[in-house]
Amino acid sequence: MIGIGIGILQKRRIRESITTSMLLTSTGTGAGVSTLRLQVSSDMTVTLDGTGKFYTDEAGTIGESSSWTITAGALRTIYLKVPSGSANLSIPNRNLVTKFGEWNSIYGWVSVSVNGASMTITPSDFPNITTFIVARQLTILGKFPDKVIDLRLEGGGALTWNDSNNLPPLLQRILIEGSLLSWVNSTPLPNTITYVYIASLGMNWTGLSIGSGSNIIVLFLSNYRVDKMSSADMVTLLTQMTNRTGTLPAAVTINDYADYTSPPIEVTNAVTLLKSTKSITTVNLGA
Amino acid sequence: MKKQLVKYAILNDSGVYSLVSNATVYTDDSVVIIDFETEQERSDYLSDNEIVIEE
Repeated sequence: MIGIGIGILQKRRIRESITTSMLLTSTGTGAGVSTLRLQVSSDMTVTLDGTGKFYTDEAGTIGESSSWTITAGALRTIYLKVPSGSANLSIPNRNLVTKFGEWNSIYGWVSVSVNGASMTITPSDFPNITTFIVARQLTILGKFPDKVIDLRLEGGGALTWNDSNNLPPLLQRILIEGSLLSWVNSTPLPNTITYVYIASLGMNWTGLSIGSGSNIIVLFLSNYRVDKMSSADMVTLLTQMTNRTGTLPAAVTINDYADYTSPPIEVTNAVTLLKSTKSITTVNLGA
Repeated sequence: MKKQLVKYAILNDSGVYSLVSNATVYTDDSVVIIDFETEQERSDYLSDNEIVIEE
């Protein structure tokens, strides 16, 4: 009997471990529409409780329902509203979710700035997602899963992320833009990185290596650290960029540099070597 | 190579324009740098000359 009991308990734990839910909170009048786009590896029906409802049109007026069946094969889109209070978006099998939006601003989550629902999500609940593309009215808790290759966080509304974990090891593209985003980390960027755009006052990446091996097509470090970079550290970073394997874009921007008005000769020499070695046209070292 | 401290600059690299603010710019001699004292002046110049900045 005891053995059977343990078996049931284990099955229940396994079943519980694949489910998850995300909290949706109404803001303002609650009349605003939010958009959710997911790709799954097998058909799955997700549900909303409380006051939350799904809709099939962007205006949030047609096809009201408390459930949404996501068909496998491509990114699927649904709209939702939470008119008051809160609602839970229940995912019966979090392992089946493979994409949370697509790179070209096809957001996995985006809410209208005023009166739209706000969502809280723990990305690591979804170990098989390869994309995490979001904007506005979202609180992100913790690190991103290892399989993520595209990460795009765009502000313009209450998009919050506070974390210090390393980026996903296979990450290829990262775009971070928004004032409520805070990532404190000093490790090298992943060796797979090809696109780097960071412009967020809360970011604090103090690494001095952009990784090695990949061909990078965008390197724009605008607001990416809190304390300004010293010239000594700038030389270290520029030298790493020179010595790394892989091409760099024709124009490179590295801001948050303390001595941007008068870089010392060591920095100018490092830039000269970088430009000639990597065939770079323009290097901007800014405030 | 040219090295120039700029406030609110427009860089013209063979017809491809980009913006740079508060930076020391290291660029090839062929790249034209037009610098302005204020962001508004730069914005007006872009508008007056119908210059499109590629994202």
